[in-house]
Amino acid sequence: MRLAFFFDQSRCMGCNACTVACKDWYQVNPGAVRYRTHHTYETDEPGGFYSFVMSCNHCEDPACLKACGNQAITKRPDGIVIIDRNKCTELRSCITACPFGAPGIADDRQEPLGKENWKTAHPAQKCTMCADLLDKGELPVCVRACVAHAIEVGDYDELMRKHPGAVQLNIGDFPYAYNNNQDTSTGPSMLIKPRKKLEVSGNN
Amino acid sequence: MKQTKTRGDLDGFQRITWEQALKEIATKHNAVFKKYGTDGIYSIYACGSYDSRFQAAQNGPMGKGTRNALRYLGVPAVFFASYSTHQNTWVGTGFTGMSGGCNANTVAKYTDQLVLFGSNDLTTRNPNSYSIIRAVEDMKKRNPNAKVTFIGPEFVDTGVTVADKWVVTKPYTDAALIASILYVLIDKTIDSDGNITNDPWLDLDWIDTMVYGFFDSPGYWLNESTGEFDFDTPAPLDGEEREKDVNGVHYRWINPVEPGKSYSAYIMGDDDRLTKIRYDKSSSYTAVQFGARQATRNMDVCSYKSANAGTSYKTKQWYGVKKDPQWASEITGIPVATIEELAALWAKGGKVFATWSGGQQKQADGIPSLLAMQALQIITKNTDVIGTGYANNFDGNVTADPDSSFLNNVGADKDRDVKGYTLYQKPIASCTAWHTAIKMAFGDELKANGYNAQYIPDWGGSNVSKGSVYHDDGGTKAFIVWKRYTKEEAEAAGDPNLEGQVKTYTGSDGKKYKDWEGRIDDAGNGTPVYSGIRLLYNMGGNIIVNQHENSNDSSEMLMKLPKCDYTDADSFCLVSFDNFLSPTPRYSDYVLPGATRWEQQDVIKPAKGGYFYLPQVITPPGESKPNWDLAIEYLKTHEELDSNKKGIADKFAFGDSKTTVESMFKKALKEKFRDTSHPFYGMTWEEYLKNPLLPSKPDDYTISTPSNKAVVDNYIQHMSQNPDRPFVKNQAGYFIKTNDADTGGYNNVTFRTGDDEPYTMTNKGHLFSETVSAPRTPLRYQVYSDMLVWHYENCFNTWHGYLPEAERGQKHRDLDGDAIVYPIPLYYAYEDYFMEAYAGELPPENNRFLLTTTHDRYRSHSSMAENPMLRELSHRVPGKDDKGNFKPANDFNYYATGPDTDFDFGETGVISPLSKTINNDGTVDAQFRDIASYSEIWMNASDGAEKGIADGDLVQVENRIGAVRCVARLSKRCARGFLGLHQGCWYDPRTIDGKTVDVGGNCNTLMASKPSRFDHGNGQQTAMVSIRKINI
Repeated sequence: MRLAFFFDQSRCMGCNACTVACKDWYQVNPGAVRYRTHHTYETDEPGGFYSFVMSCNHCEDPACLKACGNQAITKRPDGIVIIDRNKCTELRSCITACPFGAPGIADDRQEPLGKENWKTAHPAQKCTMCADLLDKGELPVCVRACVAHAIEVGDYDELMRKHPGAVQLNIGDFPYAYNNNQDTSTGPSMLIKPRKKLEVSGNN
Repeated sequence: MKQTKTRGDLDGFQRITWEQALKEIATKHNAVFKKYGTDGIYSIYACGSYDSRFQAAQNGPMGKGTRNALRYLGVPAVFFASYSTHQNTWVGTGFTGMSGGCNANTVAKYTDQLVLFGSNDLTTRNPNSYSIIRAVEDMKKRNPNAKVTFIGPEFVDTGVTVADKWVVTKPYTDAALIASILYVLIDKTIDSDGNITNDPWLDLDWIDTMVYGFFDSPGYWLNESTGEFDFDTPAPLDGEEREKDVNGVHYRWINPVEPGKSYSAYIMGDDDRLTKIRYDKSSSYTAVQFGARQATRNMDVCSYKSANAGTSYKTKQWYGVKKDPQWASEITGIPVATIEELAALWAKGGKVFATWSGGQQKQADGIPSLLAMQALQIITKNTDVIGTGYANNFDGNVTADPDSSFLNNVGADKDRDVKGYTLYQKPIASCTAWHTAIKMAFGDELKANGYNAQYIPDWGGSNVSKGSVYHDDGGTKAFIVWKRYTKEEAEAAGDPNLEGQVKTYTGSDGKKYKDWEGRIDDAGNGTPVYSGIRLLYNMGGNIIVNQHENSNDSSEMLMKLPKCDYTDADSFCLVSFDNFLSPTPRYSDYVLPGATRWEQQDVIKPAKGGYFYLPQVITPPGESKPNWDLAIEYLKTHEELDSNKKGIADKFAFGDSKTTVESMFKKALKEKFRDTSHPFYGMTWEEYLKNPLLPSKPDDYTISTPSNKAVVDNYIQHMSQNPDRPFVKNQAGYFIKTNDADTGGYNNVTFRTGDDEPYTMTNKGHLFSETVSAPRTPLRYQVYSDMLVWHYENCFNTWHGYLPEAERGQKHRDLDGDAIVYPIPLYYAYEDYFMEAYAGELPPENNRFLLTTTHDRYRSHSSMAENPMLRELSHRVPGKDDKGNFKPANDFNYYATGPDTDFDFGETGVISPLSKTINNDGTVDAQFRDIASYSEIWMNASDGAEKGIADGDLVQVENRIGAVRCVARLSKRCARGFLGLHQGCWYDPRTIDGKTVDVGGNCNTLMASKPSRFDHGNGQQTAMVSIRKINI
C-alpha cells in the first residue's frame, strides 16, 4: 500500500476550494503556513499556463524525514508522512530539505496560541493527507471540496491503472512544482494528468 | 445604529434599540407615504442569502415582490432586471428571433466548435463548473477535431481550464471582430465583380429566405396565409395600421431595408461588390421577388452618415470603411491571419456554439456585442440546429428531486392574504435608475449642499436641479407622483380591479398617457410632484455605494442629501439591513444587523440541488435578527403607530404572527413522514434534520432542442422540393417570432400599450403611449431590427405626458444630433464612450489602459470581501518575500473589524475605516508594512516593464472618475494595454494629495455613471485608466 494523490491538471480551474477547505478544517490562519497551495504557473513557452495545486507529496523516500534531527517525522505503513509537532524543536531542516516547500513554520500572528506539549512556539506542520479521516474511512477534505473532481487519493498503483496518461510528478514536466530545491530523489506519491498544450494568437 | 451626524460619518453612529429603530423608520415611512404616496418609497433587491428560499434578502419577507411585508404598507417592490443581467434581460434574443444554445449534454454530443467570447463561466458559476468541464472532455472524446476557442483580453480560469486556443483581443471590440469575420465569409462567397464563388462560405438561399436585413430589401405586405409578398398595395402612412385583415387574410407591412442600410452594407463599407450581385442570381422565392423590384442585393454602399461631417466619433468615421480583417486587426489587436482562421470556423455551416457568460453584457456597448454574436450565428445557420446557438453558458441540467419541491410551496407569497391591501401600480424603471431618481427629487437640496456632480462630467453641476435626470432615461422620468384610482372610484367605474391602478388620459396629440398629480390641463401646464426615492429599504445589499458604478459620486450624494429626520417626508432616509458593515451600511441612516444563513431557520435550495429545511445552527450574535423576525416586528410597529393597521403582522405571517419558520416547515414535513408514498415516510424530525437531502437526479442526459428546430428542418425540406415557392405558414413553425408590439411580445421583452397592461412584474415597464407606429417583425430572423430602435426611442413614453412633447420617450440623439441606437449591430468604438462619459478628459495618451472587471472567485459580488481566508487569495501585501514570492494578504483583525470599542444604547461610537493599516493620507506606519493589504490588479508583464512597474508594486490606477490603489500582478494572461481589476472589493476612500483615492480597490470607483447603450443598464465593466507605481 502506498497512498498517493492524483491530480487532474486538465480539470483544475484554480478555484482554491481545496486549499480553503483545508485551512478552514485545520483552522490555519492566513500566513506563511499553507498545507495546500494553488498557482497558475506561467512558463516561458507561449501559452504556458498551468493550473497546479499541491500539498505534501508523501514521498517514497522523504527528504524531510531524513533531515529531521529530532526524529519528529515518520512514515506510516500506508505511506503517509507525519510530523509529530510535539517532538519538533524548530530546527527547520525539513523546510530546507523538502523540494516542494511542503512543511511550514508559522509566526505569532498566524499561530497566536501554542499547545502545552509543544517544545517550541511554532513547531513545523504540513498536510497529513487527512490521515485521521482516512483512518475513519472518510475522504480527505481537499478531495471532498474539489468541485471539478480533479483530486483523488488512493493506492499509487491503482491510481496509475485507473488514469491512463497520468505521470508521476517530475521536474521535467512540472518544473514549477520544485519550488524549494531541485532534489529529484524523493519519489513523490503524486500522479498528474497533464494539461494539453495551448495555442495563443495575439498580443500578450 | 442610527447616524446622528452627516451620512457616512464614522463617528456619528449612535447605538439605539431595535424598538426605537423600527419606530422611527415606520414614522418616516408614514410621513413619506402621506405626502408622496407609494411613489416615494422603494425596497431594492440585493444578493444577500441568494439561495435562500424563505429568508432571502433578495425576494424574501422584505425584499422584491408584491406580496411581501411592504404590501401591507402600500409599497410593492418592483423594478426591471438586476445588476447581473440587465442588458441580456433587456435585449434577450427577441429582437433577432434566434433560439438559445446548448446544455452540457448537448455540447458533449453535438457541438464541434465551442467559442467562448470572454466567458468566465467556471468562476461565475463555480458550483456548476464540473458539468462544463465534463462536457468539453466528452466533446473532444467524440470528435478529436473539436476545439474550444477563447476570445478575450484576460485569459481567465475558464480559458486556462478548457481552451485549446486563446485569441488575445482588446476588450469591448467583439462587434468589430464579428463584422470582420462576416467580411471574410462574404469575401469567400461573392467575388469583387459580384459573382458567386465556386466554393461559397455562406448559404445565400438561407439568408434570402430566412434572414431579414443582411441585405437591402424592398418593403412589402406579407400575406400571412400564403407567405406571398404583395408589393402593390401602398405602404401604410404615418398613423395607419401596419397590420390588417383583408377578406379573412392577415397582412402585415414589412419595412424596407433602405439602400446601404443593411448589415452587409455596413460591413462592406465602400467595397461595392454587393451593389453588383443581382438577387436573380438565386432562384429562391424571396430572391426572385426582391430581384423584380431591386436590381442588386445592396442598392448602395454603406449609406450611414453623420449629420456632422467633421464628427469626432470614430464609430461614424468607419461607416465608409470596409470591415475587413485589416480593419478589425487594428481595433482588436488580433492578427489578420487569426481572424481569417476564426472565420473558417463559421464557414459552410460549421457547427459552432457561442457562449459569452455574463461579462459581455456589463460593458458600455454590451448589447451591440450580444446582437452581433446573434447575427453571426443566424447568418451562418448556427441557430436552431442542435449543438449550435448562442447562450450565456451551458451548465448541465439537473432536475431537483420532485419529492422535495413541496418545500417550495410552504409559506409561499401567493398564499398570503392581501385582500383589502391595495396593490399600487408603479412605473417599472431599470434597477440601475435608483441614484438618478434620488437626484431628480432632491436636485435643489443637493445643489444647496454643494453637490455639483463632480464625478459625472457628462452631466455637470449646472444641470443638478429638481426634475433633472442624467442619462435620460431608463424610466427615471417616471419617478413623480401618479394619480391612481381609489377604491371608491374603482367601484364607481364598475371595475374593482382598477383600484391602485394609475389613471390615464388622452393627450392633445391623441396618445394615451399616465395621469399625474398636479396636472392642470391637457396642454401639460401642470406642476408634477417629484417623488424620486425618499425612503429606501436596502435589504442585505451593498449596491448603493459599492456595486453601482461611480462610488465617489454615490457616497458624495449620500453625504449631501438632506439629513434624515424621521418625521419629515422631505428628508432622505436609507435603511440598511445586512450581515456586514460594508460600504453601503456605512453611508446609511439606520443600520440594522441581519442574521446569516446559519443563524436563522430557513429553506434553501443549493445550485443544482433540491430544497431542504436548514435549522438555526447557531444563535445570531449580538442583536442581529432573521429577515422573517424583522418583517413581523416592523409590521407590529406599524400596528402600534396606527390602529387602522391592526392585524397586518398576522396577515403577513399566514394568520399568526407567532408563527416561526420552523413550525411551518415542521408541519409540512410531518405530513410527509406519515405519507407512505414519500421518501421521507417513517422519518422522525430529528432524523430528517440529520439527513434532509434528497439527491438531485441528472435529467437523463436530456438534449436541449432549439425552439425553432422545426422551422429549420422544414426550411431544408422546403428548399429541396420547391424553393421557388414561398415558405408558407402552413409549414409548421413558419413564424420566427420576434418582438412584436401587438402580440404581447416574445422572449424577454414585452410590449404593451399604455392602458391595457395587467399589473405584473413581467411587462417590465416598457410602456408606450401608442404602438400603431411600431415596425412589425418580418417573421424571419432579423439581423436588422427597426423595432429595436423604435422601442428604445419610445420606451416609457406613456409616463411622459408631463413633459414637453420633445422630451417624451428616451433621449436618442448624440452630441452630433445623430441617433444613439441603430437597427444593426454595428461596432461602437470604445473611444466614443470614453469621450462622452469623461467629457473629453481621457487619460494621457502615453498611459492609457482599458480595464474590465470579471467576477472574482473569492467574493460573491461584494459579499465575503472581508473574509480573511478569501482575502488571502485575492489581496497582497506590496513587495516580495525573501524568496521572491508574492506576499498574500494577512490583514485579519485589521480589516472590517466593526466598532473600535463597544458602546451602549444612546452612546455614539467610533468606527474605523475598513482598513485600519492605511492612514488617511495613504501612508502605512512601520508596524503595518507587512500587514497592509491591497487588491491585486492584473497587468501584462511587458506593459509592466514599460511602465516601470514590477510584480508586487503598489500602484495607483485612475481616470476622470476616480482613483484606486492596488498591487500589480504581472501576467502573460493579460492582453497588452489591458488591466483586470476583479469586481467586488469594498470602497475604502482616503484623501491623498487632496484627491479621493480608494485604497480598497473597488473597480466601481473607476466606472463612469453613463449607463449602457439601449437599456440604460450597468455598463460597469468599461473604463479607460492610467496606472503608475507608488513608491513606498
